[in-house]
Amino acid sequence: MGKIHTYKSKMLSLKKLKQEIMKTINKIFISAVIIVVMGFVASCSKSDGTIGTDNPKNSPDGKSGSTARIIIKGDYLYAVDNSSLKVVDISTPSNPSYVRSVEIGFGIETIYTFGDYLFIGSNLGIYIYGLSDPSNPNQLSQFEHFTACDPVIASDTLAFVTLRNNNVCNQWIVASREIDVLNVKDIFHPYQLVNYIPQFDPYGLDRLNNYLFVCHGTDGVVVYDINKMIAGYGNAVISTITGITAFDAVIWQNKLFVIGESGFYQYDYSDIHNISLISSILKNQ
Amino acid sequence: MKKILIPVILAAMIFSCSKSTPSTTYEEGLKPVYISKANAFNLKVETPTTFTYPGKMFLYQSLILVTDVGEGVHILDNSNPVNPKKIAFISIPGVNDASIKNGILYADNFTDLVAFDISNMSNIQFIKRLKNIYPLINQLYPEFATGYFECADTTKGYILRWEKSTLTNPKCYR
Repeated sequence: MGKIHTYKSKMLSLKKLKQEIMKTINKIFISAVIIVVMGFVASCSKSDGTIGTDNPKNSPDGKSGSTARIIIKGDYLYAVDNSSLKVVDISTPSNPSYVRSVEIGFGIETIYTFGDYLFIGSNLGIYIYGLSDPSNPNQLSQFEHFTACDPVIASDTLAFVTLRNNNVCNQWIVASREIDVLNVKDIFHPYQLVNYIPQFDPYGLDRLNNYLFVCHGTDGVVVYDINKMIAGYGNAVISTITGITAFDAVIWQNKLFVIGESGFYQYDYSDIHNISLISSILKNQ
Repeated sequence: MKKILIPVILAAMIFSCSKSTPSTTYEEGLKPVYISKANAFNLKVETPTTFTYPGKMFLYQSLILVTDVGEGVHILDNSNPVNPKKIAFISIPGVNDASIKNGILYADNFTDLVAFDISNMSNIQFIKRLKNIYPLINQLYPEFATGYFECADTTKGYILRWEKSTLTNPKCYR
């Protein structure tokens, strides 16, 4: 009996190993719009509907979307190409000067900033760079998407990543989509809090307090309850905007701005359960 | 009658087969859209126009930038959110993203970063070009896609984008 049992459990662990390997391979090939939205979690009751210091914002009078490839922080402009980060000094705005290129890795797609950090999204993971010398960002840590899921833990500093696979080399790979919530409180050791599986492929996103606004392409925009996402139970979906194609969303001046294939839209979210369109400019207008 | 019919049918079959052997195949795939190398770096401040490939946005005070991927940047005045107004379009071939600080708009133009002074909307001025800070985007095949595509011809200029198309006898596949 003992032998059979051992054999059985060996088979089980082999099966599990195989699953893990498949999962890893899967995730390696996930080509993602990787977007990092960063900030401090305010508790539910703290939502005051205004942009506080706890919410992402990369310049005092301007804000990029999560899918940006050019961002401005202080006296510097940071731009990513497929493999590197370009640093441009704009301290004299009318005379920008190129400073340097920093090699990062393959498949770089997006750049985001919060505090003294740059969050660079690639096909394989997130790279976090420090700006202690803003003219020469240095890598502090990275988070690879295929890192195993960790137990759900309460935290006060989070990053969010949306992942969707497109059709790069993946005819043989099961479709995959997820929203990763990372704990980046220790910026040198980010780890995954939860990988939330949304109903639709996620694209660009933004965050306001406990609300996460995620674009879902042809399936519009979904507002999620972050606490519920992290808790892993209950319906995390608060409300949805349908009938539009949405690629990126930005909260700015108490309004939600959305861009998609057919144009640009702005919404009033003061009633989060019933988000209403203020205006739009469509392609044919 | 039967004796004749069978060879006739067979002959007809063979004939029809041989007729279609130098066959034309049609495949759904991607085809490159080119811009001449001379026009690729030609920037123009224009009157407002319609969106073609709305891709990214940047919000700045009460302005909205909408990047028309590969085409240029739309500047919108959102001081009345109920009725946002297009105020200008800057034609920037190959553009992916744009940003503003202190009244200066920065955007990518293929291999270059370009800057415009937009502090006076009725007189937007080009101010500087930083040359060759970006590598040229892949000019050989469509990234992030698999399947058939029309082989790229670099003599036709730079590739602005890849468009879905029905291809005739496509020779390239990835």
